[in-house]
Amino acid sequence: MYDQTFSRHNPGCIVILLDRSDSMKQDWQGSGTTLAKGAALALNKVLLDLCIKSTKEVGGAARHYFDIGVFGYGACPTTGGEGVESALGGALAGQPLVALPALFSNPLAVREEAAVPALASASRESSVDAMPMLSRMPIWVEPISGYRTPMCQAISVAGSHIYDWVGAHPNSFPPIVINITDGLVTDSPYEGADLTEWAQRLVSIETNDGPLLLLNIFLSAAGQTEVLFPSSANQLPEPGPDLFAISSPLPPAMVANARAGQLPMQPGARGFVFNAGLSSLVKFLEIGTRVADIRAH
Amino acid sequence: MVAALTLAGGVCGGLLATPLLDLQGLRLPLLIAAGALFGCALALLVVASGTRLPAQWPDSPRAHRAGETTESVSVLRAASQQPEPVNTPPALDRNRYAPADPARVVVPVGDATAGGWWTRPRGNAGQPPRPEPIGSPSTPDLTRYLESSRIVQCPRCGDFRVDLLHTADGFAFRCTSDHRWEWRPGALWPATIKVSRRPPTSQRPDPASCGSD
Amino acid sequence: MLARSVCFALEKAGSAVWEWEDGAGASEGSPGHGLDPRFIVVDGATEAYDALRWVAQLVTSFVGVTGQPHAPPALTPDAMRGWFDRMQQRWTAEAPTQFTNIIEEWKYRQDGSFATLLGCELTGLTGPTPRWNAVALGDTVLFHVRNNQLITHFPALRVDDFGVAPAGVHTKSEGIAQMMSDLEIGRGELRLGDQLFIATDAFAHWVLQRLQRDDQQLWRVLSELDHDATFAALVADVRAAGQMRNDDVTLLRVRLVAAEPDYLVVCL
Repeated sequence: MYDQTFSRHNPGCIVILLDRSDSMKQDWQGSGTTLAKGAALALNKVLLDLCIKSTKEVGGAARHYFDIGVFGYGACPTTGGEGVESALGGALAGQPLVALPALFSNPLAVREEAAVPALASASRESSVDAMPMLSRMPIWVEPISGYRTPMCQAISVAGSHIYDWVGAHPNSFPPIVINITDGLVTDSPYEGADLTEWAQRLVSIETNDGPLLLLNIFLSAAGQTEVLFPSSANQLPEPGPDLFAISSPLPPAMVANARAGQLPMQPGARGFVFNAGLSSLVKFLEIGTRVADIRAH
Repeated sequence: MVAALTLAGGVCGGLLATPLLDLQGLRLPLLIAAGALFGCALALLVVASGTRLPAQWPDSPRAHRAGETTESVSVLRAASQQPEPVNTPPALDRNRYAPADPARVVVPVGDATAGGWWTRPRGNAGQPPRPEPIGSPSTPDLTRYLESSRIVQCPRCGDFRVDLLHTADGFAFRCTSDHRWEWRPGALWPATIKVSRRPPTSQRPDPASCGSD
Repeated sequence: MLARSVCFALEKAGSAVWEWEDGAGASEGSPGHGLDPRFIVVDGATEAYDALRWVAQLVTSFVGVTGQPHAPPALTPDAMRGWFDRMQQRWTAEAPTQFTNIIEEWKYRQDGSFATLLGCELTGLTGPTPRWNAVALGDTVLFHVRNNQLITHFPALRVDDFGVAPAGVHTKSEGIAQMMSDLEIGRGELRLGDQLFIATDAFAHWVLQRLQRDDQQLWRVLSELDHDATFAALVADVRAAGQMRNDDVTLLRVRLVAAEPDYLVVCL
């Protein structure tokens, strides 16, 4: 299981579920920005990294190693009100899953991003190639906040598209779903199923290489003690135990990636981080999406 | 079942290849592979006939009413099955990869100073021990052949496809990329650099689509 | 004693020939005139920026082809440190002034380029104690073989050590400290008839797996390779059998011989 490599013949699928509830507008202690802005910045950075890793030739475009989806849940600026919609904008607006070459060629904008100390620090820690980043970077996702937290609906909507994707890619590495949230789910039960059941439905989607991986990261505005990749939910306050329970055990490739990044990993570690700061969000996204690094070389 | 059919296909391919074992090594693995593919195709037909119909993603409230026991949702599986892993691959077949005619030309270095062809010894005098064809009963010791030979490679690109001409005191070479060099016996063989050379952008395939990587 | 070499290579299945991102260099030198043989095999990282250029730069500099601004490095920590510095400076000096798009510029500035490396020098071939000396960063491996038996391999990787992000040579100056920490230096004594095989990771991994299974024919087969099509057939067979990861492969073979060749073999 989880042995397949990412290739143009068998691309991977990475889907982000991004909390866009009202509480995301809070200041993110220690980061110099808000939860929404910090999460958008981290997400744009990891999408940039995926584009970078997928280009081989000088002057060439990205190779179709991945299909990408970003679903915002909470405020829906495009459709209005509260709900779930694709968080990608511009030429990619409304598209649930986008091939990486299309993402490469269609950023929403290329703009100057104010330096975020926590993000720069995380990048330095996570890579031996630490250089001052360019101030201009491509943007695919904008920070949005409003309304409540319809997490179950997000899983339902994303799951539908991922289910169809797996039908077309039966031999690919299993889909990776990363859920970024700062609060308690507000729509459980949704259409008769609670969060746990929706998560079970999601992780029951599988390719020939194994079941879907669901990784969860709970952001903390207050800078509380972080819990990284625990192997049990002991003593975690709400909503820690619920999110831990729906988080997949990390496959060996991701464990190796985390250990290579000097992160301690216990046997049975789950893809879950609780009370994450911005630098941990960056590392978490890197671990979740850099599985290809280990294989490509 | 899949493993058995694949094995049967491979055996068929091998039996077909038996009379052709004296061919150079490239054809034999192709025939074996063709047999294995045939076996796999048979296996797919067998497996596909038993594939479950895909279930739907539960977008209907009726699928899971509150209070019902949670059941795992059926999943869509590919028709193909993974072949069973081979735990103990057999030892390499030395005969399969041993040197054989007529894929190479062996040129005595001494020819460079022996004058024209009309002055050279007749027959096989001065030739290295010729490698036995693949599949011959006894595989000879090729040490003398290997130690006394240089496999010619273009020093600028590593190309093995080289034209060779005799010169007054040595040899002139030209590879398929039109790199040219000369060498005479006793001289240093030029340093060999083998690195990729990227073709012009217009000659490269579209990187966003095709390819198996 | 003389060194005679041949380099076999094959790109990843499904890739174009020019997409092969390994590199190799062989300078058989002239031991009787104080010019020691040097060999190198490099494996460029797939995601690196312009891996082909970085690989070519490392190979040509280490072997010391005509036109290089500096002599090849000695295989000592200090000399290798100086060589790493020069390689990184030259890479930066030859950097593009313009990029196709913002993402390519990020790739150059953030990731740079990277490659694993195994460099080797043969010394004392005309004396009583001929030796191989080697430096290694990463999972390109040298196998020292005598009478079709493995004497040693360097670096001393195990089968399970492959597949995780290896050490290597970075283009970024910030990577120097880690490179010096990861750099391995090894040596061994040579005899007439010995062979050295230097292989990039996919092939090296397969060799180690075969050795675990005590394959008695392995070194005979590799010693007797004398045609690139035979090498390609061997690699195709083991890939098809699922025994070798689909990746670029390179095998540089060095044979220690007593005299100049009596024959030239031209592959048709």
